[in-house]
Amino acid sequence: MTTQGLRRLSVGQRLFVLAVLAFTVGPFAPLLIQSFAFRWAWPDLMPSVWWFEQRQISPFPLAWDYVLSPTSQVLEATINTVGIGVAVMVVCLIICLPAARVLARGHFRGKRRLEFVFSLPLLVPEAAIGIALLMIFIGLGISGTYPGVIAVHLIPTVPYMLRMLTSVYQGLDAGYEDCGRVLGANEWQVLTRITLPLLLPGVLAGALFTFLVSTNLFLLTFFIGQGKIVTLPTLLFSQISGGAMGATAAGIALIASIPGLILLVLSDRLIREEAFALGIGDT
Amino acid sequence: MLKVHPSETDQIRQGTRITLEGLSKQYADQTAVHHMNLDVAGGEFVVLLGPSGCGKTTTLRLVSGLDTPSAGDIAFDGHTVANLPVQQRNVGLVSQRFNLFPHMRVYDNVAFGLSVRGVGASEIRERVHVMLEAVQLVPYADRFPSQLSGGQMQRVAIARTLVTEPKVLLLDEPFASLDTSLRMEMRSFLKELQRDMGMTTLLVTHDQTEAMDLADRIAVMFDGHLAQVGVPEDVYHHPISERVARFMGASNIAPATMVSPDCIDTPWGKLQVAKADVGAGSCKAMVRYEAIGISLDKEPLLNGPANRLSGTITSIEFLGPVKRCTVQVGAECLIADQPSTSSLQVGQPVAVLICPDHIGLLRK
Repeated sequence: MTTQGLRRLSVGQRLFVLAVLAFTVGPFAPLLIQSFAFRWAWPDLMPSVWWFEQRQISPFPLAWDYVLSPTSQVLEATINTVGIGVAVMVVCLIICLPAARVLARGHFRGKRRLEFVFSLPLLVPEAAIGIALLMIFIGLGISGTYPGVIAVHLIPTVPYMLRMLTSVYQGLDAGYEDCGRVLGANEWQVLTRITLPLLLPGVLAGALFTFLVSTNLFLLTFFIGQGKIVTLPTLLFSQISGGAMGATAAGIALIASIPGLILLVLSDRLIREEAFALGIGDT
Repeated sequence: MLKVHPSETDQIRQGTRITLEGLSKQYADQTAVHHMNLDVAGGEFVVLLGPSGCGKTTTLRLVSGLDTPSAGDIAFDGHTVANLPVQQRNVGLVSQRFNLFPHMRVYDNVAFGLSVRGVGASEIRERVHVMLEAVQLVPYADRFPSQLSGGQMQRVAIARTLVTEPKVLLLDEPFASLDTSLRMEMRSFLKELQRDMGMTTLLVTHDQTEAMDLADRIAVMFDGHLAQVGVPEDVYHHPISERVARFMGASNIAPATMVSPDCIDTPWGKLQVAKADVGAGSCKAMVRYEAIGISLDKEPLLNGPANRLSGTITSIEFLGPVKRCTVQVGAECLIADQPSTSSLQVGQPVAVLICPDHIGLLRK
C-alpha cells in the first residue's frame, strides 16, 4: 500500500491497519531484542545487560556469536530445512498436479467422498501419525534418513496443496490446452508452456504454503528424523526445551523465519508480474 | 490477399478431402454423433448446422482429434487419421472463445504453433510477420490478448491457426461472441480468406443465415444424426423434413397428397411441382414466404410456368424490408413476403403465384 493510499483512509481504518501490523510484525520485536540480550528479566522494559557488554568477558560464545559459530549447527540446520522444504514442495507438486486435474475435471462416482478422504490427514494429531509411522519407517529402514523425513512432511502438506490446485484447475478452461494440442504442442509442451504458466498463481501459493508448513514441522521431523536430521525447528526446540527463551534461541528463531520470508517476497513479485500478464493487474 | 509459404502453396491449393464414414461418438449417458457419413471435397466449405446439443461440435472435435470416435472412420485424402494424435493431424481449430493464451503477447500466440514444432527463430519471425500483416495486426504484436477488442482477438486466433498451414480448417461458432456489425465484417473476411487459400473448411454454427452465406454445402444435424446435406438453396427451398424446413426459416407448411408425379393436392388447391421424388401417398408441402408472388387479379400471367391461385389479402404486417401479407386461399391461409415498396391493400382480391421449383415436399 502506498502512503497516498494510507492517507485516503479514515482514522478508524488507519487504526485497524496499525493493529494488524502490530499483531503480525509485533512478535518479532521482543525476539529481536532478546537475541541481543544477556540478561532480560521481568519487570525490565529493556535488557539490563546486553550481549555485547559480556562478549569479551564470557569464556564461551554468546548469543549471535554462538548462533553463527559452527558448534550451533545453525548452518547445517538451515541447509537441511531449506533442502527438505524444497524437496517436499517439488514432490508435493508432482503428486498433487495430476490429482487436482482429475478432481477438477473428472466426473466419477464418489468424487466428493474422495475429496473428503484426502483432507483427513489434517484431522489426525501429528503425534499419532508420527509414532505410528516411526514403527513402519524403522521397519522399512528409512527412519532417520532424508527420504523418510520428506515422506512424512508430505502428510500435512498434500491436503493443502491438493485443495489449492483443485480450485485453480477448476478455473482453468480446458480450451487453452486443447488449442495448444491442435496447434501441434505435445503433452509436455502443453504442460510447461500453457497449463503451468496459467496455473502459476495457484501453484506458487500452494508451493509457498507447502514450504512454510514443511519448514515449521517439529514433531514429525523429530520423530522420523530421530535426532539425526537437524532442522531449524528441532534445533530451536532443543534450545527452548528448558522453558526459557535465551538469546541463542531468539537468534535461531529469527534465522528460522528467513527462508520463508525470502520465498514470500519472491512469490509475491512473481504473482504480481503474472497478474499483469493476465490483464488483472493494470487497474 | 494472404500470402502463403511458397513451398506449400500447391498442396494447399488442392485442399484436403475429408471422409467421415459411419462416425459415431457415444458418451456414458448419450449418443452425441450417430453413424455419420459425410464427404467433403478438397477446398470445399461445409457448414455443420444445427441447434445446440445436436452433436456438431462433437463432430468437429472428432475430426480435429481432440476426441476419439466410438466407431467409424475419419480419412484425410483417403488415408485414415482415426489413430493419429491431434498434434499430427495438422488441422487448425478456431473456437468461439478464441482461447488466446492470456499469458503470451500477440506475437507469441501466433508464433506458438511454429515454435512447438521446432521451426527456427528467424523463420518464425518471418512467417509470424507475414501472418500479422495479413490480418492487419502488426502494430498490436506486443499486446496481451486482454488488451485487444473482440475482432482483433478473432483475427489473432485465425492468424495463430493459419500460420501452421493446416490441411483442414475447423471453426466452432467463430462469430458467436462478436456483435452483429463485426460479425458481418469477419464473415466476409473469412470467406475471402478461405477462397484465397483454398483450404478445406468445416464450420459449426446454429445460425442458418451465417450457414447459407458461407457454405458451399450445408450439413444439417439434429440429435446426432445428419438430417440433410446439400447446397444452401436446396436445403432452404427443398428441405427433406419439416424439422429442417422450420430450422432453415419461416415457411407455409400444409399436408399434401400426390395426384400425379408432378402434381400435388393441398388445402390451397392443386399445385404443379418440379421435384416429386418423395414417393406416393401423403406428404407435406412447403413454400417459403418470399417464394410466393402476389399480383392483382387483372394483370396477365407472369412468364414461365407458375401455379396460380386466387385469394384475398386479410392482413399486412410492415417489417421494414418486406411486407408480410396473409392471403386467404380457399379455406386456408398463405403467408407471402412482398417488397415493402409494393402497394397492396388489405381486402384486395389477388392472384397468388408459386413457381413449381420453389415448392418443397417434406417426407415427415
